[in-house]
Amino acid sequence: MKQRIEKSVLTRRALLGTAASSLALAPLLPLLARAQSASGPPLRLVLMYQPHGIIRGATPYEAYSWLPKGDANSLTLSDTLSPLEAHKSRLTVIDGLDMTGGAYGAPEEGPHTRNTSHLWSGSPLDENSKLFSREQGGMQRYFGWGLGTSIDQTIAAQVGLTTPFRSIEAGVRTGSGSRPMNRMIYKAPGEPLSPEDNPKALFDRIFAGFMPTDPAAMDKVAAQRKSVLDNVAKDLTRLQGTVAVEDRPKVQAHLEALRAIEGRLNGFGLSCAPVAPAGVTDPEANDSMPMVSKLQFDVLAQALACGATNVASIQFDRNENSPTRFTWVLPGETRGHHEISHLDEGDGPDGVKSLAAIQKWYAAQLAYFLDRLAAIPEGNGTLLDSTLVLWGTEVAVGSTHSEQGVPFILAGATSRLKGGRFLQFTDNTRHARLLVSVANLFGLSSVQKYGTTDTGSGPMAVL
Amino acid sequence: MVRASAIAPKSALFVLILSVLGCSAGEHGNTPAPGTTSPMGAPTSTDTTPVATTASPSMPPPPTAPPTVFTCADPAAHQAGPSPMRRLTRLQYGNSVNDLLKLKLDSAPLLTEDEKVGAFDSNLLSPVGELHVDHYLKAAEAATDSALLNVTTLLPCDPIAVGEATCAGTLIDTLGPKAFRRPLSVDERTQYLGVYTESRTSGGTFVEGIQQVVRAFLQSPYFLYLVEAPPAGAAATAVSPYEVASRLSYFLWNSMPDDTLFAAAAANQLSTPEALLAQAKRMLESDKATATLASFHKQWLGIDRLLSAGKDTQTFPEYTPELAQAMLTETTGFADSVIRKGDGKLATLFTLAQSPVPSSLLSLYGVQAPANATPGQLVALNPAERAGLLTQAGVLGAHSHFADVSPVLTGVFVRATIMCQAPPPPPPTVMAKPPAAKPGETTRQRFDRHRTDPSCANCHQLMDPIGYGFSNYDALGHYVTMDAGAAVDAKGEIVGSLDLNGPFNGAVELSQKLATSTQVRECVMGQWFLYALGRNLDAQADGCSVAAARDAFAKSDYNVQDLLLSIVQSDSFRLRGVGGVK
Repeated sequence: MKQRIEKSVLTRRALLGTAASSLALAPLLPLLARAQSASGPPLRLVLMYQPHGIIRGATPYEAYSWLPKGDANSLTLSDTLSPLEAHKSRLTVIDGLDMTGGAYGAPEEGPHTRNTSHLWSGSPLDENSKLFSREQGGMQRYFGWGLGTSIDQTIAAQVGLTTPFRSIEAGVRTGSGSRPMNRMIYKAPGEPLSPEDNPKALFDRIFAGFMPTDPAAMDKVAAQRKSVLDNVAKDLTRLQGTVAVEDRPKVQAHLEALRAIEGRLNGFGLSCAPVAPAGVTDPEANDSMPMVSKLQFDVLAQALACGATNVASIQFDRNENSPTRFTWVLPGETRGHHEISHLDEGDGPDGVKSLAAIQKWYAAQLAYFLDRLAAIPEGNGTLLDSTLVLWGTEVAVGSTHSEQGVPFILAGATSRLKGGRFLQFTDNTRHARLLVSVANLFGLSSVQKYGTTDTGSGPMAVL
Repeated sequence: MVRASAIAPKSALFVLILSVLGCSAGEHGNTPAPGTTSPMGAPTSTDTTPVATTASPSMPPPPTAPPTVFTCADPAAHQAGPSPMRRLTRLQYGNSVNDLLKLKLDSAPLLTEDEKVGAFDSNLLSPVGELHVDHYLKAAEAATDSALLNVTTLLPCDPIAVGEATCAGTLIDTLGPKAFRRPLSVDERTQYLGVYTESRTSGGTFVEGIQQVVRAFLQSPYFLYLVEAPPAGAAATAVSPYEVASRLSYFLWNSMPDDTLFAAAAANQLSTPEALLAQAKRMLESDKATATLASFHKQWLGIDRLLSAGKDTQTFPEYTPELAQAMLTETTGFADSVIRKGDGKLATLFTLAQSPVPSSLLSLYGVQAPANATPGQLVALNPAERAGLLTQAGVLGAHSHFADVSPVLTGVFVRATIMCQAPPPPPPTVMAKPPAAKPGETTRQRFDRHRTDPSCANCHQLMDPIGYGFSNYDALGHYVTMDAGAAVDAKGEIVGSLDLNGPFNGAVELSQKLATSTQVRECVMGQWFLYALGRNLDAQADGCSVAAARDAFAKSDYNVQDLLLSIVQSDSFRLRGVGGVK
């Protein structure tokens, strides 16, 4: 499917070619106008998370290594990353970043759990909190939510204000309760954002109501919702004055969410014709994963193309302990990804081969998304030219839980980034350098440190 | 019943791997239950001294201490830990919508996942995001649409007879206090009438005006949150009658107060522990308590993971999602039949060789239903094979792998969930590797080899030997007598516990040990406190409430109903503490 992004901003009303209805509608808010700087299309950011690290392909399993070969001027993809071959010139693969320090003062804290917060925020979980105890792992280890803001949200606070959605969080089989081990996006410290795992629900949330056959009916729905939400805001404001001081941030966050939703009640400049995804009976089912992955990427591509948002993320599986049996690439597999991820080259070919197959499948998912973005024309290029897809995982290698030597991939954003290269670090460069580089890329030039575990400063020089 | 072992030799490597994965208990392997650990707050004592054990002399002592037992420093002081404003769980939201609007909807799938505190859903701390609020909008509209399909049931009056505006006002007077679980102020009534009026002046019909009012109630924070006024001073104070009515109702029914409870609050008749006791007794007799017992046991025992994880139909051709549902139904029905309809004893939960076995599970247990059996009727099981919760298919299946059993999983489950004493993770330097697979070994032989690895043995002595006690069951809960051609050896041992140390033979004997253990009683009590309060206990402020509940629990010979009745009378339940939880 190809969608052309028009330069001009169409209001829903104009798109529908309808006269003003009898209902008094609030004027379209300025923030609903599509951000379109004079210099070209806006830069977008999509985070993609894949659990449980990579296989590095120690002898004699070099053939199963995830790692590419190359240097600052060349890139030769491994078999695992070969699904990305068509996009090679748009890729920067990074290896060797240091992500230690996610659990200050408690080195034995679970690495999957702590890095779920640490990966994108550069900040640890709150270890002075008694809210959660680590799953099974130590009855007297308590912790709370992450203490940082994830990089996408920092950027969204700048570039997300001109779009109907500040950011959109998608998930693929993430469902296992809202817990620190399972939430990677933080709007603010202690404010995790939950992903939507159901493609149809995600699509409806973004687009439903903007393709009506009866514009007058849609206006009426918007007016009705506004009246109700105004009433909710009154209740929230009254409540804010009576709750304990510790509860006020909850009421405040609810009010902010309400205002954001009110702001998009009247639709937005829908400059394309989104296509609804097929319904998935049980998006959380094991075997639904390939279908849900495809559909979620379809929705996200359209959300970017249609100007619904400039910032998005997609979380695959749960970070703590993926139970997913990748039967579509490993027929008859009875083990979950996490179980297999504890195998490595020392355990013989079984685990290495299985992990390589899983990691190759993930590379194919990323490739599918890049394909989609590259198929959507924008300006003189495509949507991919102005979209940075940042891929990451919470540990370097599953079998060791190593937090050093962590890989990342930057894809797209070809208008701003050189591609076709492999950057290897052996000097304990912090992963925060990458987060700072990304912030700088999005115009946040004053950001020189990212997160509370950042021991260095400045962006990644080579980027 | 004798059944061939389902443990195929090909799985040997997998089991070995998991034996290593279990070494860090939480991060490795498919962990059994979600986050069940002691809810007893952070330890007050600094007692990290390893406990002497009965483990072999060559093995270092287990790196964990029994759970801290709460004590009451000053019985005269009335205290309660801080209790942040909670938002309704998905279960509570759905029940409340149904009770308010007389519907039978399943709203949960429309809503964002709940925050989990310990093993239990409780929206305690993290705020809502736009996704939540979008979901609330859609769920409110869906519920309102359903209610309007039968508008005469919804309306407390005839708009033609009394006039539309009057009837709208009457609806607000009846729905509002239920939705907010307290009377509306005059200003609030005016505000909600304004929602109706705005709709009418915009050209809406009467029904549309009503629709707007109902949607507004369902999205109000006074509906979505359990709102309580904070104490005025620095001391914990009793919550108001309406607030304590909600606490009671959302604990025992996971829904809003009924008319009787609401009337008691209105008459200020809930200010004493005795009054709460009387209401709680009445509420536990209601069938609405059944769903709460089911919700507690599903989460505590982590059995609902069975539905999402499934089982290998190659190994278990009889497995279907419906069978998994039947396994859950059996366990929750069992808890209800013991706690609400039986003798209520904790020991019975762990030892009764009877269960309301659904017909689809009869063959799994190798039993037949009694003649003229009614649904939910207890079926006698072989007492040599089955004893209470831990030998039920749902529990055994939930704490096994997709195709195979694992002593590590079952051992960690018992240790963490039943004993509230999860093994600690290994030091970060330890990264043991599984020895190569040896076809033809029994599960026990494989894990014993793993156990002899000193780098794993130290923590695995806490779990594997407990898991060995379950060697007579396969991953779907069938009773088996042979493993890899050898007779099953189900001898196990507990080390490093408060009062359970020593050998045992098989899960039936283990269950009998657990049934009378102080450590298990403390654990279950703590889990119920967490479920009742929706928060972890505070080591200082909740100490006296825990001590009082412990005494009452003991006095009743460990009757779970009496435990719940004691919890609702406690200061922790009746009072609101000062400050926030972190």
